[in-house]
Amino acid sequence: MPRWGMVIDLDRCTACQACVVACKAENNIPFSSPKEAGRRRIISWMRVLPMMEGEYPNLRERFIPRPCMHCDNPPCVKVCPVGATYKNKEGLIAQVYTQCIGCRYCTNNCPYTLKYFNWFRPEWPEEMENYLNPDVSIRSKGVVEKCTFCHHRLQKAREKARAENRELKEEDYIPACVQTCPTDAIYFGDLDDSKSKVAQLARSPRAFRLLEELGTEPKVYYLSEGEWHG
Amino acid sequence: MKILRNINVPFSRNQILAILGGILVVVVILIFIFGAVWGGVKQPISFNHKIHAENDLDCLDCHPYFNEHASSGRPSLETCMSCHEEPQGESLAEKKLLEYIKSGNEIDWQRLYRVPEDVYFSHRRHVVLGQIDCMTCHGNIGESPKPPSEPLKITMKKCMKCHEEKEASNDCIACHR
Ligand code: HEC
Ligand code: HEC
Ligand code: HEC
Ligand code: HEC
Ligand code: HEC
Repeated sequence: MPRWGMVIDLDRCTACQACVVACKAENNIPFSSPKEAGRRRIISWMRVLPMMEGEYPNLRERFIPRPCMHCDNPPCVKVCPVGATYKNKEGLIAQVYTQCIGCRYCTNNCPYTLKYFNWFRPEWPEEMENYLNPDVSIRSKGVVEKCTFCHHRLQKAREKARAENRELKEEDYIPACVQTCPTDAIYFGDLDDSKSKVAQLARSPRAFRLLEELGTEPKVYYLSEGEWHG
Repeated sequence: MKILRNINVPFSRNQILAILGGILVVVVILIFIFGAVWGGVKQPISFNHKIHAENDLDCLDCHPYFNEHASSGRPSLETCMSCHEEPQGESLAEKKLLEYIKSGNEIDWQRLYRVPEDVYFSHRRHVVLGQIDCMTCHGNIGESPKPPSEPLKITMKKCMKCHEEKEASNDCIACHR
């Protein structure tokens, strides 16, 4: 059984936001107005967080792209009263929209603030409606959503591998942000396969995770040279 | 009985009858309304699967995609035209079809089976990889002379029961997305 995880090399990331846009297009995430964004009601499964590093006067701004961390010890799952969010056998944190009652406990309990509530019925300009991704459902108002590591791509990849009568290979399943990144800063794969690129990188001395001290055991690793206080 | 008679009933017999009668009328009206909504699949032409099966047509001739895709697909007018450009019989239903063929308008077949938009269902996965017969899920629609008069539901319970038996995944997000 694979344990899917991601490694993001911050030394390669240029904060171009291509991953953010690719994610929105792939996952049918609606636009937001500046007003709603100001009220923090924007939905963006992948978000680039600006961060200051160092001490005055030696400051450096760094950017951290953040998808759902798919924690092995997920705080959001612990508070869901209806089992709409849970960790599946492959370590993915699932969100079942029809099961979600919109209580937002999980949103509030996520230390990374990476779960999003649908405050509105999503809408697109008419011209765009034919360009929505049929593999991803449109969420309704009043449910919580978040990055799924493009799980629908896994569904299809698995079916394709079965049809070709072979095992699923790592390169069959690649989330949209990974595919898009122009500097190849994002890696994705099975953390439990010691030969996989992600497993190797996660063991590197450059690797760290965000808010590691909380014990959430995120499956998104970051790489960076030098001092880092995630 | 004496005790019963002594209890003060706030309504007279006639009032009670009137109330019951009123409730009955409302219930009958509701049954009509729901009947119209639920029983309401009316196909533009009463399509006869049986006659076509007897004429050696395969499911694949009219539902061409189930071997490769998630959906099975439904036949276009062109499929029907390969035989029905010449009248095959004298039925009223076929006359209607001939009118469609003359005007060239596609027939607006109503969907009978549908899973919600957030559920992933793939025919290829079940028919080809799972080797499951159409009949297991669709009953004898492929051999019946008339389309079913109401939508048939393949419920989550049914999906999950078979998955349990055949050891397919019952992880919520295997189906929900
Ligand atoms: C001559 C063409 C033809 C053939 C052959 C045929 N079908 Fe159909 N089928 C149709 C048409 C037209 C409809 C839509 C009208 C209706 O529902 O009866 C339909 C509808 C259906 C539906 C309902 C689809 C929905 O709307 O949800 C099922 C299920 C189905 N067919 C199964 C079968 C199976 C199984 C076979 C093979 C045993 C088969 N069909 C053979 C033409 C055909
Ligand atoms: C392979 C040739 C063939 C094709 C293709 C075909 N049919 Fe037929 N169809 C027949 C034959 C043969 C009959 C039987 C005529 C008879 O005996 O009355 C028939 C009968 C019918 C009837 C009359 C049924 C009845 O109850 O009397 C209808 C309606 C009909 N077809 C509709 C369709 C539609 C709609 C399509 C396209 C989805 C289609 N057919 C495709 C051969 C075909
Ligand atoms: C495991 C159950 C299952 C089996 C086996 C199955 N179906 Fe279906 N079928 C469904 C479900 C569920 C839907 C509704 C799908 C949706 O809403 O996307 C459906 C929808 C359809 C439809 C209408 C929508 C479409 O896909 O175009 C047709 C036609 C159809 N099936 C034909 C067939 C035929 C022909 C076979 C055999 C080759 C078959 N089905 C086997 C479950 C099944
Ligand atoms: C009669 C049995 C049966 C029914 C009913 C059935 N399935 Fe399945 N399903 C299977 C089998 C067997 C497989 C595994 C196929 C294979 O070998 O790849 C499967 C596989 C799947 C998969 C892929 C799971 C994975 O591991 O990725 C999905 C998704 C799925 N089914 C959805 C549904 C849905 C939705 C329904 C109900 C509408 C349904 N199934 C009804 C037998 C069934
Ligand atoms: C094998 C496929 C499959 C699996 C696994 C599955 N579902 Fe479903 N689910 C469906 C289908 C198909 C429907 C729509 C038909 C229905 O309502 O029965 C549905 C409907 C639902 C609904 C809406 C029901 C309603 O009445 O509106 C909820 C809520 C739901 N599922 C929750 C879950 C949860 C939670 C899990 C995991 C424990 C799960 N499902 C696993 C196929 C599946």
